[in-house]
Amino acid sequence: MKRSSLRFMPREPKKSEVKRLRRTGYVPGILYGHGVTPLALAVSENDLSRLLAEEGRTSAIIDLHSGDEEPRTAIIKDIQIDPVRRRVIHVDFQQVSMTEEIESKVPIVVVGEENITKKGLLVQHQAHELEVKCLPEKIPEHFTVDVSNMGVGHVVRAMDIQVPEGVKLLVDPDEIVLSIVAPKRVEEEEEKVEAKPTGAEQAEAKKEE
Amino acid sequence: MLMPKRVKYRKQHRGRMTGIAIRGNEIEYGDYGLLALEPGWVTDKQIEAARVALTRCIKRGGKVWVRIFPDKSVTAKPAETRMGSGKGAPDHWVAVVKPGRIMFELGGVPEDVAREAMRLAGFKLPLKTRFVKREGLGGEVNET
Repeated sequence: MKRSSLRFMPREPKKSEVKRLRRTGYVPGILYGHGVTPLALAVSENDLSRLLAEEGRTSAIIDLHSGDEEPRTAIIKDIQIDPVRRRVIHVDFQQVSMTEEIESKVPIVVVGEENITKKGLLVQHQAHELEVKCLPEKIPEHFTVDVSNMGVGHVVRAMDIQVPEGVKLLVDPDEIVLSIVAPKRVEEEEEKVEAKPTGAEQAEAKKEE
Repeated sequence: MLMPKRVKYRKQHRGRMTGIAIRGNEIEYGDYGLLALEPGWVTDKQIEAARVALTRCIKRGGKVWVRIFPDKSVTAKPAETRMGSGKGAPDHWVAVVKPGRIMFELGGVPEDVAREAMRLAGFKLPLKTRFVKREGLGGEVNET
């Protein structure tokens, strides 16, 4: 498990303050946890973007520093993104104790997808990440699924994924994680569309019936 | 063309398109998406044209998801008709799209193919659009 560090500064939980911070290149956030008083804070947008690009959204343990205080160990619990500008507008950190189990999301990485695409098939994800419960230091960086030898109709369920010792999956073992499917042929699809009746009049006709 | 199977009321008010998309603003199924940057009505024909452009561009590989559905009826009066005499007859169906909405998604194709397909699909739509990709595929969160 990688550890990263991030500097933060406490902030006032006021709307005007939050707007000012966003204008000046900071992302407002909050730090909370079991037995911890919630703390409103702000982190540099550049530092946070770099951290997210390197570590991804989930599973990294972060040491949060502020001035001369003791660093606080936390994970990123939630991120709010502006739907239009696609910028991070708020971040939730959860302070963790290294001796207490926590729930976290672990991304799924697919290996051997080139073999599948060579065969003209497609890997269809049902889930991009799985929820686990374990000690913070045992959170896996990702789960690897090898699909290189799979064919059409193959299904990978949560129980097929190799989970390290001390990590408990919180999803139904029968839940489908991904499947190998054959893409629809373009010509077939277009014929199907042409065969369908068109226009709003049809709905009207149905309504009148 | 996409349309509801059955509706409770045939004619609707036009409504307002203020604000941004609260839901449907994240890539859920595929790896790449086409994001709406302004509000507008997307007609059933435009959705179909964009979908055809996407499927033709990606040829055999990949999968397309259409994340908008035209569930609002639009009425129109016949040409050269005097005003009055009530609201016109249902003419076509539209999807109300607000900024931030992911309208189409693509999966199982390389990024350059997805970009080109989305660019072509964007020409079929009456809105400004932007190509976006799912987090965890590399690159920055604010990828445009």
